Amino acid sequence: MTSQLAFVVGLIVLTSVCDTVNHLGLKVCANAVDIEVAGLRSVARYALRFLRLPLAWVSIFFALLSLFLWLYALTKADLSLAFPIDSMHHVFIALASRFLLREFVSWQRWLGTGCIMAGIVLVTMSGLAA
Amino acid sequence: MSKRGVPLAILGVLFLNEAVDSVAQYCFKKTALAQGHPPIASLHEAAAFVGAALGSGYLWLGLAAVALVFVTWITVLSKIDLSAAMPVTSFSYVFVALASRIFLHEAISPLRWSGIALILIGVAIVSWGEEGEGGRLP
Repeated sequence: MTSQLAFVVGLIVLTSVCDTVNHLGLKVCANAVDIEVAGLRSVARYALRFLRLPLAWVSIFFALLSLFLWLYALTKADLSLAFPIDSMHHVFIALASRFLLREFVSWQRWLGTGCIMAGIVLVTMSGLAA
Repeated sequence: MSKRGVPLAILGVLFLNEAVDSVAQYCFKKTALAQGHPPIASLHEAAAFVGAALGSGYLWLGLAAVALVFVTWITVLSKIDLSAAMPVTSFSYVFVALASRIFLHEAISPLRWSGIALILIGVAIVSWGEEGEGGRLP
């Protein structure tokens, strides 16, 4: 039971890493596309310009990888267990935003991120008890 | 690009987005439930799992929800920082927990609710910090 939980948590960590790569790619692409979005036609134009970037497809690949890892994790765990643990991507995203995209991350945001980590520990413990 | 908080309209869009996202999670769990407990020890078995999942109607319903969320998300990302938009997505923890309890009949122990609550408090701190301290560089 314990090794089963460890396997599920490992799967979810992998899912979160793939998800982080996906979102980083999306943000870099979004920064590169300078079309003002107002109305349906500009959304379509935005999407087309977006999909012409090679990095967008790297993002999509990692999104798909993340999806099937996630589906596999869900064959082994309750949604109410797996989903909160998946909030680990917030931690990865905060780190990546700060150190890869060089965005400003305030100390409150770090504190909140720590709180999220503590919540993940409790939810994982609830999986041990089940 | 302004770093001072998230505009209310964008917040509303993100919030709606999370409701749609929890519908997607429900659909993904239904897809997984239909697969039973497949062993995956080889690429062949992995491909079989992906193939079986792709045959599920729930997967495609879930993906349609994700597509909607995706379009909204990239639009929002062009307006605000990724690290500012991301915390708002955590409202989905309530929706997903309730959907798990009500529609999937999962048992959620007090310990698990506490963990989920702590994650939400983390999100609240993050959002509040965004409002008050935004724009001040170290």
